[in-house]
Amino acid sequence: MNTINNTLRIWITVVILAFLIAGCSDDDKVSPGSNLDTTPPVRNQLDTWIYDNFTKPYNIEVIYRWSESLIDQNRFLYPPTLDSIQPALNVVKKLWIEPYSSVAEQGYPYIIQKTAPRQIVLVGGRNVNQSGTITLGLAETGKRIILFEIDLLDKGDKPSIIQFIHTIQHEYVHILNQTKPFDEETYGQITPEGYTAQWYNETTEGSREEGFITAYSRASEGEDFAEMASTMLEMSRSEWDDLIDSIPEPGASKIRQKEQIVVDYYKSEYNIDLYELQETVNQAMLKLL
Amino acid sequence: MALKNNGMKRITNSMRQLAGLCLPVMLIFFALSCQEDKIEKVFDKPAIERSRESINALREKLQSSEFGWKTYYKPSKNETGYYQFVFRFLKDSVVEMASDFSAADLTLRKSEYSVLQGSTTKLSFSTFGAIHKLSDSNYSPIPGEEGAGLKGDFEFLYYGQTDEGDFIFRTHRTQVTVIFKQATASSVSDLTLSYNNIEKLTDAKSVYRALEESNGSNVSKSSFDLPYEARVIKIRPVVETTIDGKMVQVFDEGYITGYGLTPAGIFLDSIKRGNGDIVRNLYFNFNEDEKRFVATLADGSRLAIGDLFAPIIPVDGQKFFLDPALTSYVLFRYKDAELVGLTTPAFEAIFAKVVAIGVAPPRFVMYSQNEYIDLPGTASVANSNVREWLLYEDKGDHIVITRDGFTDANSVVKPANAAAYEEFINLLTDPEGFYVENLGVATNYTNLVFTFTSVKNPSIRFATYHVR
Repeated sequence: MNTINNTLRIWITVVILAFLIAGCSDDDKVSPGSNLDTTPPVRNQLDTWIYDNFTKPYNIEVIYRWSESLIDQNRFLYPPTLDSIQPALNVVKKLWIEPYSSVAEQGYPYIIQKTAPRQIVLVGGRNVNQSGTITLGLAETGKRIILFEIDLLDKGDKPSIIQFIHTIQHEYVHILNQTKPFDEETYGQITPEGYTAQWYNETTEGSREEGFITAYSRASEGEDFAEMASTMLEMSRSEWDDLIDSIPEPGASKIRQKEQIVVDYYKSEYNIDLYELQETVNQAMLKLL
Repeated sequence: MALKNNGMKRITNSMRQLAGLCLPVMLIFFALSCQEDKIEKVFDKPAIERSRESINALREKLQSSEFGWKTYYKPSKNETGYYQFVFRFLKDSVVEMASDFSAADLTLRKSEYSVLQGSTTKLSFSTFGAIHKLSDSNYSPIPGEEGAGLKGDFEFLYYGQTDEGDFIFRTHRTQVTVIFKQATASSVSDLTLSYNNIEKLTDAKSVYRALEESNGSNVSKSSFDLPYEARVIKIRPVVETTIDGKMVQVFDEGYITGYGLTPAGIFLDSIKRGNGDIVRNLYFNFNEDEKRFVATLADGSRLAIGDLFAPIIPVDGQKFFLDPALTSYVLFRYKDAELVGLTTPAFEAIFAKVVAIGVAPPRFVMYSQNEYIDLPGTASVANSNVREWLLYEDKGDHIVITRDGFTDANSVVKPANAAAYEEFINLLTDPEGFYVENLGVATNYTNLVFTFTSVKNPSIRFATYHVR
């Protein structure tokens, strides 16, 4: 037994010694300090304006420099011109962020901080699809909105502003829906036959006669809902009423049914009076022009 | 057996003692040998440090050239030609950029760039500049490529430098090699000189355009045109073939080649010579006397690209037009969507004045057998059609039309409308006549299409529908 114990002791000593010898070897030296570059990026005047107007008050990061990971690499797109960024963002702030913030202040405070996308990505040019249709904006999982055509926005031209802000309002409705879903089933029963993947073959006029506010509304119930809300938010209530009243039946009645669901959704889920929001956006538009 | 067992026991004990001594020694050697077998170091610095150094090194090199860098970039191998850029990289990620893409890009404009780590060290033009015009889905001239722009990229992966100090990049998405060469003091102004040559190429003075190859008295011609706006030329050589037992000349299907602009002229990717040889990277200088781009090859052959003032292959469509069994009349329709591109702006400008005096609908008919022209509307003294007799003369390779008085008193043009009408009818009855070409069925209609091109001024052409 003694012999076995001695042998075992020698073994253990030698193993420890071997590891010590190996462990004491001249291994890689660890670099002093961190290799990660933690220096904050240098902000130009535009970056500072964005920080003061979007990032700090609303926790929204605005990305205007090209970032390959944020844009579909199969598309031929490009970043915006430096000069066009601040005017476009000003439209975003005046016609989207500020009206929502002020109208929701009592009923749903900090709505933008709570529900707005954390990133707004700006693309300079038009996003033309292979079919020839144009994508004006994208909302990705409620966290990011990609806005196209920043360089094409003419801030002195109402139709140009309306198209641009329509995109933002439309995408934001998607985000609101992703945060708090609407009753798609009930909504979809109003015009169940009219939805089509070939919506781009339809006209606005014909779509309205069938109960869709735009041709794109026909893409799906979700797009229809977003088109309804965003179209309402690009005009005054009286203009909206005139528009709907001019649509032949049964289109007008069906659109009115959809309008009621949209208005109820805003009230029940976010405690927002959509008509008040509509008027606030309209007033902001008049000031902007 | 007991003796045997004791002996075996002694041997086993001795072996145990031997193993007890040897194995620890072997283990130490094993441990030491493992240490010595460590992988040899390839890099002396951590990856992130090397990456940062690579970024900084490229940024410094980009900024080091006094006049910046210039490049010819061909975004698509088979579908576009070349666009020229000059970049001046400044500090704080600012780049000044100019290009021969368009007249608006010829001077330096500021935008931003960044050097960062992608699949390798990457140069990215991160805010809009001239180079982004190659990646505009809203400007997609390549046929069948809606939304693809000119297939350009504006992110370049760095692959090192040549012995001459040129940068080797490859485009991030499309893996096209792009070489940046050091710019000179004249690089920016050279862009303007280069761009001036595009007008000489595109602003045709004739509907007939040719690539002409000559060596002594041997001359061969190919037609050329610009099929779409992506700096490409389509060349169609003339070949001989047999139709209905007769040897005739026709245009080959042809090929497309990319071109780029230089201060002195243009260069082509390649051309196919009359003898079948392919010549690559061919530089042409603009010859002011000939108003053509000219190149001389090593064997003394001369190549010239430019306008011709007669058809490459002689035409005789007038014979068909004048044959009573084949033709009743031809009909011209102003701004006809099916014939767009065949009627030239020079003719449209003249006919627009006729439209303005009351020719409505805006058209005219030339009867080949009754031999008169009819312009509907209210331009005549009777507020009705203007009609005038015409005489036709077949001159072999062209037709000469002469006027022979109004068909009746009510068809006379109003004095107030005379100036516009006279300009039009004098063109149509120019003594030098018209080349008449039968294009066959060239539209969605079953009618044949006939073109009439002024012999005197071949930039004037009108296209008509043929009616039997």
